[in-house]
Amino acid sequence: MMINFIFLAFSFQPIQVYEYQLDNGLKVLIYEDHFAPVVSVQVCYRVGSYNEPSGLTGISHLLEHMMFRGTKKFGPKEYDRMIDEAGGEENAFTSTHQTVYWANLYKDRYELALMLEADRMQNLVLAEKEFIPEKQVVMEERRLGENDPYGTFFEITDHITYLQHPYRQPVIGYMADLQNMKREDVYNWYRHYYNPANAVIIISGDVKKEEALRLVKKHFGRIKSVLVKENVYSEPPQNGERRFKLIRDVSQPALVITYRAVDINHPDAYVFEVIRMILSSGKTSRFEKVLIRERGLAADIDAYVSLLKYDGTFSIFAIPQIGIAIESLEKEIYGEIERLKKGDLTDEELQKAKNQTLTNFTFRQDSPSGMGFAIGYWEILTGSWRNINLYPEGILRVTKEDIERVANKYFKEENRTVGYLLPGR
Amino acid sequence: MKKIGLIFNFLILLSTLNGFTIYRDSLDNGLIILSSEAHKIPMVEVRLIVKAGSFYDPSGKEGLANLTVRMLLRGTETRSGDEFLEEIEYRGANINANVYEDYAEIAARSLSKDLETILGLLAECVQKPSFKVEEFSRLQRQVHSQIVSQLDDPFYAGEVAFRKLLFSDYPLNHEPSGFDSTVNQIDITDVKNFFTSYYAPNNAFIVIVGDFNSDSMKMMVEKYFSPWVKREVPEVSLRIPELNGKKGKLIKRDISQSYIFFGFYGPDNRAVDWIPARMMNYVLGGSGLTSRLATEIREKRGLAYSVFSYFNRFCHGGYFIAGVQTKNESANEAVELIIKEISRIRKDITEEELNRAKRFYTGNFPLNFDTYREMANFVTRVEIEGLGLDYAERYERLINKVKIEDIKAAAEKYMKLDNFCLVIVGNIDESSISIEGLDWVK
Repeated sequence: MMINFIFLAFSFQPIQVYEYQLDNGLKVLIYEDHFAPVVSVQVCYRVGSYNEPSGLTGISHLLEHMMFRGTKKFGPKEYDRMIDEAGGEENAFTSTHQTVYWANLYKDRYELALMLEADRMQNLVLAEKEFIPEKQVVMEERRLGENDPYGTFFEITDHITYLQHPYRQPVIGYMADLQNMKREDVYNWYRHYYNPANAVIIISGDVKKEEALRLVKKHFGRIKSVLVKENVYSEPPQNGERRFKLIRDVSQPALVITYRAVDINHPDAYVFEVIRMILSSGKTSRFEKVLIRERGLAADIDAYVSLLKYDGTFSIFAIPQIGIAIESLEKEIYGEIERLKKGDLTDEELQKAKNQTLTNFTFRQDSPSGMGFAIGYWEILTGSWRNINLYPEGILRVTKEDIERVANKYFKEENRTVGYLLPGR
Repeated sequence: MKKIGLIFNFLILLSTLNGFTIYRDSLDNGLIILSSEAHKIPMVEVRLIVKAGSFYDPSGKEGLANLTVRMLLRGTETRSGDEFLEEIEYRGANINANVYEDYAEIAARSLSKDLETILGLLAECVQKPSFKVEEFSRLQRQVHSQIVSQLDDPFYAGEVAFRKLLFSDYPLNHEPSGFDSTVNQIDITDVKNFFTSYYAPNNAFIVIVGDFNSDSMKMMVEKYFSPWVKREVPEVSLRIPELNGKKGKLIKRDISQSYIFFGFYGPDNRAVDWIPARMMNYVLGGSGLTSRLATEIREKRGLAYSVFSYFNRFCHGGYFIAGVQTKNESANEAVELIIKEISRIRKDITEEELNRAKRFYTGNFPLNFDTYREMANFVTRVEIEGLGLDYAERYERLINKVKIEDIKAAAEKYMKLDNFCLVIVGNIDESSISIEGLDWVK
């Protein structure tokens, strides 16, 4: 095959974010994109499943739901109704380290979202009569996850990979914890974590930064803040392979292999990302080319890098093709891992991964709301949004030797958890 | 400059909205080019769309349209599938072959400087595919395994069963990827025949959105696509079977919830009452937590996390689904609430609800074009659905002229409670659903 193409001409343009901090500690990040008359307002609280003590798993997410159930000023569902009538789109999500509320609106009406977010940052009612049905809703959401063929499978994987670290806990929470949770628990959680000093607000889209900042100050400037401290937990080394089986009412088995990796700020983070791209990004990646197309072993296979604030994992999830034993698929995946350990990698493959990283950096800027989420994610997980701009360079520095070294250091039998999802019942 | 043999019949749209302009041109062979320039980032979205979707799958070979379009990325007369894909992915670009009911597409995204390469490769794969039998067998095995594993998802299994129950033998009866039972009935000759029948420039169009220069783009399209030979494309005309009575289907699964799908036929792409029907659905179950279904099922009673209703429409038909997932014990209550709300919306919708829907749809419209990708989606829809290039300019008027009577008429036309389909995937018995006259299909 001939590739007479060298990737030198393209240099990436760093993104520009305007950063401010109000006197009460609220971090404000503004990203201007004037392509379309749309603004995304996103409020991120620095709280998620990581912060939840045993017995209160799922509380951050249940609070997220209750945030739509009324404040002193606006009744239940008024938030949805008002954004809706303005033609906006809105929702929220909870993850390991953050709870994010977002609304996308036409540019002349984004102040509405600022006003409503400032209101529910301080005036949530959390009425018992609203709490009871909403808890049922969240329990149905948990059931939905359990009935997904792979939901419980991934939950068990985390639970076994991390024995002590809060990363073992599912964001949705355990059913018994949800059952036992009281309105007061959730209200106290709100009071503790929701204040300007524990939040980041991102405004992304067709705004002028001075005007956006003025509006943020107007609505959030007088809210009082309390400093929130975060405990740091760690997980001891794994020291031995862990294996589990899950039997379910499915027709096709599935496989997960999870290696303990590093936290998001670790220098090896870039190497894991390049490895992920070589193995499973695009149709010419090794997994898709070799294990799906050439050998017909997998119906689907993907690698995932989940590097968080304090620790991380590198995972592979695969579904065998009909007639292929799950054991042989597992073995062949290790074959691909071994190739990395032996340094079996061409310059073109490495360059392709780098080229993809750079173009993805550009492609991502297509969406202003997507950029807003990325800015918030990097700010909260790595400590600064500025790390987004260091990312392409970090990837470009990765060498073949780095890949061989990281593969040998982390992709070891004693450092992995392996799960089989098997048909039965 | 080389003479460009394009018929230049452009129209402008959205000039007042997000300031983007769509040009519609065509080559002598009938290939239509829809393009819109934008210069935010050095990137282009390119789609080659052929009206060869899963609706055209012959009975017993459902999945043929999918396998055909996916084979286009598996090798041409001059390069293998791997060489073809490397050429794209080495540049950091990406390419996908997708199939929907109405059309098949090859969609690519690349840096602007690679536009010519991408166009050249798209032209090559659609004019000179190699259709190698060993590549086909591998693809077929993979797709078959994927469908079987997807059916492990109760939601997907329910949708598949619903469409089959509703459309019976009519070709909208299957998901675009085909049935698990029919994908293996297809051979390489079927693929070649399907390709020869439908893949013609006069049955296709190209969408290009993003950072390019119009003049040079047109030269490239002309250079690579004008050799594509025009030919006659078969017409398919079939009648949708009548929907008679209340039909139910239960799929037993060892799970904690029942996945409920309730619905009817809906408007197709050309239906004149589409906008009132859509606004009716907004009030019923299409407006998130504020819809009537969400209020009754989720907000008041806490019976479900997910409750929704939507219309799915195509060139040759459409359907409506109201759906919910609730713990098995609540399945009957949820079905009763869906029926109650559908019956209510046939009779009663308020001026205030109508105005809310109008405010949402007019206010939300500009949010649909804030990325190149969404612009490309919009342009594709305008062409496939025959909305007219001035659709964006007419949009607000179309919404604002809807009256209560129009909504009621649409509700009465589409939501007939004597004729419906109900599919439930879950761990319940038929006897726990108390609907009079419901005929359970095995």
